[in-house]
Amino acid sequence: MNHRLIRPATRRGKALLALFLLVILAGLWPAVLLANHAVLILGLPALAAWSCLIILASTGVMLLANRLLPLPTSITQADPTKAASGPGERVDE
Amino acid sequence: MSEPIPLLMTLAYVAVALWLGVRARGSHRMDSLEQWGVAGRSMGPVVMYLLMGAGSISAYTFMGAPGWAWSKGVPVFYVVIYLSYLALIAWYCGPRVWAFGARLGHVTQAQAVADRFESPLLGALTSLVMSIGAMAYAVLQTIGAAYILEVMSGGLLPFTLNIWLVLGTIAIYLFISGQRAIGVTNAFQGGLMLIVAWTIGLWAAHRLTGDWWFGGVFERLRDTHIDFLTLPGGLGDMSFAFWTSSIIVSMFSFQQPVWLQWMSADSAQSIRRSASWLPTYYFVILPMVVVGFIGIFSLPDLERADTVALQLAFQQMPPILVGLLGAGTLAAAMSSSEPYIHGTALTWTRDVIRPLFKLSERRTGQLARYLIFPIMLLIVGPVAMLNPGNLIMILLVGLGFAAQMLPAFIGLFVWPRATRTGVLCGLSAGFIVTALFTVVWPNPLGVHAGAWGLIVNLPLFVAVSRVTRPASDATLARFMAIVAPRRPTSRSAGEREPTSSTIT
Repeated sequence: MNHRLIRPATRRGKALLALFLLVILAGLWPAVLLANHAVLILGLPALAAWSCLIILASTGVMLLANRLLPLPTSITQADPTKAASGPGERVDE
Repeated sequence: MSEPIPLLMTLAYVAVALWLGVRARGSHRMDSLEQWGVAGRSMGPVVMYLLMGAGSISAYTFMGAPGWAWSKGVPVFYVVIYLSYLALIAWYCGPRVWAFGARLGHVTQAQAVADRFESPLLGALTSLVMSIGAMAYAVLQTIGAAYILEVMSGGLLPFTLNIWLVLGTIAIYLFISGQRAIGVTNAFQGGLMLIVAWTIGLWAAHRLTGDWWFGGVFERLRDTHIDFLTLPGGLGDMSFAFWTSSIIVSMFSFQQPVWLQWMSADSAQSIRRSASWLPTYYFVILPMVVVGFIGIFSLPDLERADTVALQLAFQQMPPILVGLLGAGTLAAAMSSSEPYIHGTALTWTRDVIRPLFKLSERRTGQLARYLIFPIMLLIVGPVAMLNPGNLIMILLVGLGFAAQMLPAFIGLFVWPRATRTGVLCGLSAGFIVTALFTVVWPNPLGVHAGAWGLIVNLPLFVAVSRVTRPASDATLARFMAIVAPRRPTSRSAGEREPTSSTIT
């Protein structure tokens, strides 16, 4: 069994992972220092506007990923009506 | 009580929620885990969007968030950020969890952990310890709901009666319709909260500034309370370290109800679609936060910060808006309380009682429904009546502990080498550190106690996993077929042609 960490191997996968991490880092220190000023942007405090931007960026990156990396068939074609009762149940029997 | 409209509107909300919840059952039999626990995996993307949105928006949004804005200022926006990141987690993990259910027959979170690590003990432990935070959360939301009814009735409905009124309502539709009731009522509650928050926020801003936007409020705030516009906030207690560590700890707290929400989707695609748009739901927090900021000018001498929205409503808003706020806040509290009660009943039955007494699947499904009654009668109700002062502390320890389960989820989703011994060692150490840094030395160096727990937990988990025996190849193969289907199973093959993908 291959025990190594599961990582993206395709360029698209790697690029999207980088985008996901970028969005996450944008909300944390030190990136959040960029927005920590007492100025108003579109009528909102910079930090509130930054939070709204993160909301939009999170949605944007997921919509992009939906387009570029569709779910594998092993997930999309899993049929709930044919759930295996064997291995999944075995642990508590 | 001088004005009956707010109370009538709030009670009308309870009646509608009850009606919707009872009707949600339809013609389905509710004596199986598949139906009562995860609604027969039937929920489409729109319901999932509202379910996940409403489930994560608690009474905190209508009471706590305005209170934070009133007392601290912009630090309150950390909630918006971590909730958006939870959606990223849902986007990646949700479809895989759904496939665990569809292909491996899982229902609960602890069941997946037990199966992946070949350890019913670890599964039961997961179930029990995740319940600490879940029960505290359910109690807090029930207290919030009872408080709203008391305020809306002008004290006519006493707090204790309200607790049982709320729990009784939830018990009826939860017993009859299970997760289907949660789906339908949360969808209703989610829509209601959106309408209420934006109506109240825009109305309050217009009343203060004459504009239908929030700019005038913040211009005034900039002139009078400039420290409220930046970190560390008005009280000076939200350092960058606490901001960052709170977001990290919160986004990795995999709660049982969230897991059940993913399991309840009608397809993996539905989870992806709803998760992709989910962050937009959290714009709901913005107008309520603005109400808190308005309170800085209108109600400068409040005794309790978290009453700012209600006090403002009673003093300045027409009865119909007060009623809307009451209904919206009650919706937020109930939509957060019911999934935790349901999830706890489900996991205690499936992951603790069933292995102990060797119950059948059918018997387990029947028992789970009835377990909501002792949970409400013996735990949630009595503890809510006591209204203990240290409940927040219990909740913080519970949520800090939930984050300590992260190694188990790393093992489920990204690292096949993770072992049960590694998870148990990391978990134990992380829990002790989190408990100590919550109760004895709160948040040293301004870093969230849960983050300190993870700092100890994760290296220990990795080190112990590397020197202990991993799960069998057969078990790992079943999970890898879902989380990394294109990954070669042998190490040598993997080195030649790495084709696995994390974000696929």
